[in-house]
Amino acid sequence: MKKRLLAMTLCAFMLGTGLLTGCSGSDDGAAKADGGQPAAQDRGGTAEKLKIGVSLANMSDDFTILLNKGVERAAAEFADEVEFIVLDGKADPTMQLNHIDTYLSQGVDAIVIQPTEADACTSGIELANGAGIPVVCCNTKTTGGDFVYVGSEDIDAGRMQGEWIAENAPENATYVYAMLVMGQTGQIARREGLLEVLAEKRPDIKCMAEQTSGGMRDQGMKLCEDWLQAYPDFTMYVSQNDSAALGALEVLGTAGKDKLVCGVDGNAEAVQKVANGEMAMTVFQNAEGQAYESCKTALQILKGEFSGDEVIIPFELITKDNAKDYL
Amino acid sequence: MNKKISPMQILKRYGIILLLILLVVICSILSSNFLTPTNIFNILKQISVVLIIAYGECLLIIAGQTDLSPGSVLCVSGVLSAMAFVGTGSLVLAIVVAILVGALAGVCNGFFVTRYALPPFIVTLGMQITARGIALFVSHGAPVVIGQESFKILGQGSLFGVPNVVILAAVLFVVAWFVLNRTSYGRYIYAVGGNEEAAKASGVGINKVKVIAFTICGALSGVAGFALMSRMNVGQPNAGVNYEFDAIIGVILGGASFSGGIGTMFGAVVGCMIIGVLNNVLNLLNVSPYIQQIVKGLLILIAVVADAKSKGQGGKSILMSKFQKKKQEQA
Amino acid sequence: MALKTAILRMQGISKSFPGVKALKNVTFEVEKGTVHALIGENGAGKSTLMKILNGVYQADEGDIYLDGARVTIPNTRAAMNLGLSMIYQELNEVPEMTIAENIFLGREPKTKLGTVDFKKLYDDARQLFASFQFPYDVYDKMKALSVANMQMIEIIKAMSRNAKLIVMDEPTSSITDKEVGILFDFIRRLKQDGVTIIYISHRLEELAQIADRVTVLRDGETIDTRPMAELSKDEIVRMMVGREMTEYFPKVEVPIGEEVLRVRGLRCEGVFHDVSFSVHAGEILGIAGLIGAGRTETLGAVFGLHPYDAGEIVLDGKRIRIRGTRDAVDHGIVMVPENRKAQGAVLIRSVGENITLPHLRRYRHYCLRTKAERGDVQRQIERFRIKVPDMDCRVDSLSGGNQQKVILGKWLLVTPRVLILDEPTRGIDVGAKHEIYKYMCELAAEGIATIMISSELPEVLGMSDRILVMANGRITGELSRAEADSEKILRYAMEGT
Repeated sequence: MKKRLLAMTLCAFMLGTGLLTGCSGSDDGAAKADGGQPAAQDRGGTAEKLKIGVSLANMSDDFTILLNKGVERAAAEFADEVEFIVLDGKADPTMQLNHIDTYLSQGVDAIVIQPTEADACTSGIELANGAGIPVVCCNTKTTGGDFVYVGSEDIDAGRMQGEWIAENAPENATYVYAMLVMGQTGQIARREGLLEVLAEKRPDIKCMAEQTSGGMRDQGMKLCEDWLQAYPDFTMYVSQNDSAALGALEVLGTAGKDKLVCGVDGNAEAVQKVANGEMAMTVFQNAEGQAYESCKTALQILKGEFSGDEVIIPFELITKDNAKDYL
Repeated sequence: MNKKISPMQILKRYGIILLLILLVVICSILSSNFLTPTNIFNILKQISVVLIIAYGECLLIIAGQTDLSPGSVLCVSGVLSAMAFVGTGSLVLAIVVAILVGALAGVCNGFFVTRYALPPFIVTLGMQITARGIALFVSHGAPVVIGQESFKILGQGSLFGVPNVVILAAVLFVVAWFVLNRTSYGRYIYAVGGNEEAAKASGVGINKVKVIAFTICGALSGVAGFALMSRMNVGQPNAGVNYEFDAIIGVILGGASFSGGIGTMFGAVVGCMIIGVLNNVLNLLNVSPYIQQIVKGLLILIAVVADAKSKGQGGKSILMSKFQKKKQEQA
Repeated sequence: MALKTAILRMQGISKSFPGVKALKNVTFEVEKGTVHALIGENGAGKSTLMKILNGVYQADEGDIYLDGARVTIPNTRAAMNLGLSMIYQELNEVPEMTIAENIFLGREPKTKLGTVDFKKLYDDARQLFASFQFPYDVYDKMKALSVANMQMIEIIKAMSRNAKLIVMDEPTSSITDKEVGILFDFIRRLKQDGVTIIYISHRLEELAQIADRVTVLRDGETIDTRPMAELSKDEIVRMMVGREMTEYFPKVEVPIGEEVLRVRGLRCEGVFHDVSFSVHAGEILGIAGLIGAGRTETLGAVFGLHPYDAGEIVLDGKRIRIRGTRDAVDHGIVMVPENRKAQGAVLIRSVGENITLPHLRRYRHYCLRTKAERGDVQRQIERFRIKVPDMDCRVDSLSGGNQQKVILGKWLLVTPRVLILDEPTRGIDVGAKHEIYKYMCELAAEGIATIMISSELPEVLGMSDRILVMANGRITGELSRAEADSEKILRYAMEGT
């Protein structure tokens, strides 16, 4: 009975995870997400191809899915020279540590990692350093280890929101602030950037309340409902991501209130709403570009064509004026 | 025996509602924005999705079972429902899809629990992961954007000033209450949870009772999924995470016992309201997100203590009484 | 008349609970080195008195003297330090631990480093086993022991704490006759070592074997303390119930009618084999045998609780299929199970809910709690004289006898064709037992075919019209009421063992 139970649990688990990873590997033959083994036809090809192992943070997250698209683009472009292997970390740093072990034993030439956590993933990077394998950190920096960073600076996203607000907000404006999961790098840095710019340029603007939406749409709605109750006169709903901002827009729409709503990410729905004038602004984080550049940088390192220690992919401000370019 | 009820019994029986009243009084003192019609409707709107799940959880917990999958089942049925709506533009079809997908997930849970005599905890955990995976798979991880206004009717519309989701939750409460209290199926639920062996020895088909309970819980999760997606006006594949825990905590706070046989629908509603009121007032008062987390953790502890208490009312929990005896002996 | 060698004297003990005076000026005296029986109907105050002795309750009035010195017992720890030990009806052992570990649970000998000194633990246990001639290995797991042996382990555990006075609450309620013999030998040995035992039991036959003196409590008062040898069973019963019982078993002969149920070749591999029997309207068929003979399983199969591989069940001349309890209930075959707590009733639900549970289809399916349902419940409460404040009170708040009556009330709400009773009077006080026997006779007179499984020989002999004896999953003998006696039944029951 116990054995059967274990088998059942495993089946359920594998079915679940298989489906999760299945979605990203389905489009392109070069980027494989299901088990880390390159496809058969690749293995039969030229034996001298370079191998790059990619470890993504969480394939069930919108953002990581966009990153994977960048990996796929790179894989297609450099298919003659490199074979990319992609594994899903399922938001678990230990899992990513296992990925690195696997890659080292498979003898990859370089590793691209999107760390789930800045501290916890450091030991993995150090492991690769010890083996003399170059590492590219994509989107997030780890606190230790030697690596080349490719990504955007979260603080810039906050600064960009701040700059826009500084220019566009009326005198003595007030705002409420919906943050990502507390303690995440993005949450801390985006907040820092926003506060830094506002303190410098618009000390008259006041923050009424700040809470976490966890980046979720329904939580963003709840916060907006509660804040409309507690601070009915706030001028702006500033969110650290688009999902929560879009949730707030739903609430404001139903309540018939007109407020400035700011987000970060530049996802399709948000860009559409910026173009319509429903949403004030968002900041585009070029996820696909980050991943593509990460893969490209790894290849350049292997060819000895790269020097330096970071490649910054800038955030881009999206407002009504330029929104249609991003649709 | 006289039928007078002592103050202690009143406290035991109505403690949870007194707690809610006390909470409301404190909240309205702390925040002038609290006791306004809009805010009350806000709270009801915010808890209605969890409430709908809680009715199903309440049936299951009373039957001595539990379901960890509603948050994910809600999501997969909501996403599929949104896709059906986008594809056909038919609201009726969207609702039917949501309910059917949810019920199907519930039937699967029930089948594995009864056919292979597995603990519900494991089976529904498997379903939780699977359902979430399917939701992400079918939507390719991206939100299903709804173009038309009519999808929002349930989630954002209102009737005579009362939000439609609240009306839905209220109607479902009446139905759930009736099923639990006035039908033979409700009696079987209590009997199976109270003593499965005795229920079996009284001619109750316990497996049938359990499968139906899981199916009801699944179907309600489907309804909740449609309600949530309609409220958010999008088919969001990562929505509803941990909704089942809010529902379970609410049910337990409301006096149901994890060991089964004890609990009421009314208690479940009051328990969920306590959670909703707390969440709301913490935001109104702009309490730090860190402290909010502490408060929610404490609430879970209170729920567990409530659970232990409800078992202690005459019905001896085997574990507790053994523990007490052991203590006596060691003493 | 204070005894010179009294180890314990409880003098003028009174204790009230809200609404009840549980003990009224009770005096209880126990002589050193004897087995002293404490008996009385449920609710007579036995357990309250023993809980006061054990420090669980405090007496409102009265004094306790131990070896002539006045003592106060504020809690169970104090009781233990005074050498008092109580062994409960339900044992609490850790089945997966070894016997030795169980004995020293919570007070394991420690090494200098503070870890458990297993060598000393097992050495000590071995010594204890040797001194009590207990024939098991200290390394055996607790679960390997029978209930009787576990009782002995409890006693050994008490003795290892230097207990002078041991209270045993119904120690034989769930063990076989053979095990009772082993337990009694053990108790006699303890007695020789000067240990005093207070023995609570409903089984009067046992008291004759083991007790030296007996104290009868009734309604919170001491009725008398007498040497056991002076008393007949009838006298004891009279003292307990306060009224003369004309007959211990109120058996009424009723005319036996048509055959109702016939079972042919019922078999479940490894449990019971080729069981065939029949029972007639108005008949009480007794099924005797040792524990583990397969009686409960066989009749469980007839009721749909236990699976079976082959065989047929014929009701009123028609072959029927029983795939589950629902089928059995629909055919009018009902069973009052052996274990009330585990199978008999949903203890945490109300009396009313329990009584109508199998019959909810009788009422309007989608609108319960009607007058009809409550009326039916009220009728059953009155018919079986179930003592309850109201029908909404929980079953676990009732005494064992009343719980059993609730279960009877449940199954007799609709008159069944076949009533199977599995150990119907286990753990019930004498008065309630008597009542249940009376109901059995009434039901037989109504033409119900009754099958009674019982391990109590006097009950089987006193109530049955016909007796089947089972051993090792087979029927080994059939006796008519006239020819049956204890000796014959035991001989059949031991067959092949």
